Amino acid sequence: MDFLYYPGCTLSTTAKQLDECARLCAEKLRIKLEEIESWQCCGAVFPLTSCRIDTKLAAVRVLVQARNKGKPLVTLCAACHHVIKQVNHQAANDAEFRQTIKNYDADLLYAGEATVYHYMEVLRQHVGFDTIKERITNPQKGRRIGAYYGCLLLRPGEVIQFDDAENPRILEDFIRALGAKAVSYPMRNECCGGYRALEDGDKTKALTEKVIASAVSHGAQALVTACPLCQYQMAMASGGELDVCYFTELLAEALDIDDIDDE
Amino acid sequence: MRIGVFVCHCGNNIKATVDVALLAERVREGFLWGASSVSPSVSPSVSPSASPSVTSVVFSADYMYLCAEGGQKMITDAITEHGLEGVVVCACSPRMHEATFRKAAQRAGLNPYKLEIANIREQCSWVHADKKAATDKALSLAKAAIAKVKLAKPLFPGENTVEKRALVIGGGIAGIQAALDIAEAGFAVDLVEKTPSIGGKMAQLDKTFPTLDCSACILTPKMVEAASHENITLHTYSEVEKVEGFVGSFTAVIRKKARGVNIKKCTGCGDCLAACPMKKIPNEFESGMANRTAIYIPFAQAVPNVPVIDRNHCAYFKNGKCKRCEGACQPKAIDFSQEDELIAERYGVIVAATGYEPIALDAFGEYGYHDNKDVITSLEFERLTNASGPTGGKLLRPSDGRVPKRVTFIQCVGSRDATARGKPYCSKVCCMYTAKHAILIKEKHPETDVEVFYIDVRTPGKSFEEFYRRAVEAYGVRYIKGQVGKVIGENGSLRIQAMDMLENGRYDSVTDLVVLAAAVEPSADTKKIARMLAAPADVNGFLSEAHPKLRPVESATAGVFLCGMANGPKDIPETVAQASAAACKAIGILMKDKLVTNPCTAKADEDLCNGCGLCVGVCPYGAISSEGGAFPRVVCVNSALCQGCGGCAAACPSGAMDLQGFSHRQITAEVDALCL
Amino acid sequence: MISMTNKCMQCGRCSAACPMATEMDLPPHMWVYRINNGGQSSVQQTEAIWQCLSCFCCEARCPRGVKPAHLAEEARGGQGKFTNDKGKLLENISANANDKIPRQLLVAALRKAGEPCA
Repeated sequence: MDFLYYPGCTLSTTAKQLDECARLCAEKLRIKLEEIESWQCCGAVFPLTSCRIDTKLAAVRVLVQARNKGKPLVTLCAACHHVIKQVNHQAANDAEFRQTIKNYDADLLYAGEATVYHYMEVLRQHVGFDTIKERITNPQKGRRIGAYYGCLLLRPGEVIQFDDAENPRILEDFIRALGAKAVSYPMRNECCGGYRALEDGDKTKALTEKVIASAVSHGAQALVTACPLCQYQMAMASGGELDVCYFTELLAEALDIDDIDDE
Repeated sequence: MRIGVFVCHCGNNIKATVDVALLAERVREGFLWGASSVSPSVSPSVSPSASPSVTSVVFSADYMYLCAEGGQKMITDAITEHGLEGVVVCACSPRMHEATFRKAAQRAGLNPYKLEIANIREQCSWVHADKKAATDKALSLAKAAIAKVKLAKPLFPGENTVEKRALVIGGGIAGIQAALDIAEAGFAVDLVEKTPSIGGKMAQLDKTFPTLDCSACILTPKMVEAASHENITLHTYSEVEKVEGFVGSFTAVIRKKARGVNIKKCTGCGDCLAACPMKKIPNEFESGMANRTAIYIPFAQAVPNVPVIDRNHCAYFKNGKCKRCEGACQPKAIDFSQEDELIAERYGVIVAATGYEPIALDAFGEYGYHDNKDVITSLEFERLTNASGPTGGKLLRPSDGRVPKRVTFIQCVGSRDATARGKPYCSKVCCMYTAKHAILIKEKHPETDVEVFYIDVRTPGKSFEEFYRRAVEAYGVRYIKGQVGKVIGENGSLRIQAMDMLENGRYDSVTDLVVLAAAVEPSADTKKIARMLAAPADVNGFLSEAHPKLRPVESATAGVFLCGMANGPKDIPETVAQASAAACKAIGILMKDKLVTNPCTAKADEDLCNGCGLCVGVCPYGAISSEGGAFPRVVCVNSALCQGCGGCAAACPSGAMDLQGFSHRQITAEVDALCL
Repeated sequence: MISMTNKCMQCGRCSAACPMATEMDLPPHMWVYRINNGGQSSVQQTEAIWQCLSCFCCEARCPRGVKPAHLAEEARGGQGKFTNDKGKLLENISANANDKIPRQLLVAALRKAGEPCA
């Protein structure tokens, strides 16, 4: 299980715990994560207009490196995962896009050959939840934990292919593998409003509160998330009602990994 | 050979772009390539017998509508008066009138296969604009046809016998109606149904629109008639495994699955059901809203009223214990040793009436179907309001058994959906059955609020629009133009986030019961049946009719007829009409003693065939076989199965295989006429 | 330019799914309708296209494969401005930025504010 790893800018700064726990857990689960040699910020949004090509170059460069090294690429931040998978899909299906990329930089001859995984997909497909269940030494018994997927991890379904966008279950399966009781609630795939947090903090807080209310009403004591933006929103809005952490933090806890920098 | 050429104007269709009079003149010049004469050295591929001096367009004429009586008479008169030995008709596509002109030739005493069509309409006047170029092209096409007819041999159709027995696959209302009509006409019918009882989806319905007749009340008399008709043999809990043959002589193998109960001894008393300890099996007839036992009769009016042992759930078949039903059965009808029976039977015609299923809603998680007991499908709703259903016809919420204060209907779940999740077509019956459901609720509970979220309301049938307006105007059902984004289960109720398009605003409300109008799709076995029958199906899996307007109940495969939802979404009146129409077509074949076959079939020249067998693998109809015996073998074509596709003739390396009516020499002559 | 606006059958599922629809002056199905009839310019003065969260709920639930989120971004980009008419965007970003916000939020907010099309 040998992968190239793309942390992204947020995981290297404000979401360090997400990254650290991911690396430590990978070590314990014998997953090799080799950080990509040179990478830039993926751009945080996948541009939806047909004219924006330059902003996708960062992702293309990362994908080219993955292809050239012949290893699949793993990423963790929901936004990076979204942007890179979308760019990969476009490179595979849009001849005009491929040509324009090449026009920018002749070295970037890329047609979507690399494989991109989210860290959770690696856990499910390459390690297996059953194996994880066997390996955890600190089962999270008695805890009622919900998963918050958000938007970027799931949609658009045909491109991201992480799980069924309307009825996802992968994170609940993961939570169960860690020994906890998984709480499924209807708003787990609805938007927290994150992208507009700076422009319209009140409205986005209201959206996040709706998600939290749904989770709490279904009995969740804690939530795991994969997106630093969602995590930020949740932390701001939950006001102590709910414990919100990254799924890798939970995994680290279940694997009894102590040496984490707590910030 | 004395050839006559007839050029049709087709009104202005051909005449406007092709100079028909000039064409009729120029064909008389025989094998000409724009010059007034030709020397044999210019055309080395033309065999001596076809040399210009023996070329023989001895008669040519143009006429306004050759397919009309006058035109036909012109052809038959010319054949007689001028001793024509071959005829070329320059007109529309052979698919239109080849049969017409062949019949005319036959009437005049000329073998109908010595007539060729040059398509100067679809392949010329309809696709070109330049008159001179189009006329030149028409002349080339005419010459090719003349070259072909010169080499035509007289062909004589063969005959098939007709087995006077019909096979109807599917025992819903479509299959039942078709079977009854064929049986009434005096022919034997085998009606095969996969489930333990005939009746299909109609048996599950409560009332039918627009009359609000009780579905079972109008269906069960037909079910009983089908069971007791002297000409109908019911094969329930049975499936068709294999079909071979062709129209007039199909052979089918039917697997009669083991019920575990002897039909002849069983009295339908139901004691075995009461004795069975396995009581928690989801009842398919109740759409999973109630349970049944392992030995079960699907519903009270089942025909035949004989139980079936579900071997997947029966304690005896799973772990060798129990057999309580056997003990409870007084007539000793239970037989655990019973095995599947295979029967082979011959049929003249087959009617496919395999029906539909609502789509699975796994991909539509936003409606919360799997997470909330109070989000149900329309078929489940039918069971709820049905007096013989899981709640005795009382409208009660599945979660807590309360009467709902509000019911919300969501239309078009999975229909009119161009994405991978759904079906692109409109499922046709949902607007009407939802109006029906709304009315049924209001009749029982006038105080319950009913709202319907729709994109359009489609009411194309007789009295349909009036029925829908009654729901709105007389019963106060609220129709909201808009759709639902999400259904959220909360505190025992359901919150819906929706859009009211006419208000152009969001509509969020709380409701007690949500009913989803799920799209319909062909039943799961339709694909298998289609392949078995070699019957084409469309991109959505529905069995295709031979022509959407003019041949709506026939499959392109001769002898196979279609009716009901298997062919496309439709309601009960249309299904019954189609079933009777299919029966009529079937009877048309059954009443013949002999069927005339197409003589344009492949034939192997024994002297040239070296038995390589390449053609056997190429034939899509299984029409070619190697005659058994000593090496070298020669192949033999079954001219009844052969459809004249010509694949074998193209594949044959030695040129032994040839297609009558489209021989190698004829085709080469056509190409030469066009190119040289 | 994505030209699929005439696939829309005005069913309203996008607007029903949109978390911001109640705040918008023009819900998603309306801007699809307007762009179809009047082109991009007919929606450029709305608040709605700036309020879109790019959450793709509309696109996930649309039965016709219409992409309202893409259309909104195209309409934003077509204006070639850094802000909408209200001029609040950049002010809000600089006012609310601090150490705790995830880096991606800063990048995304600036990007969403609408850079001119190259």
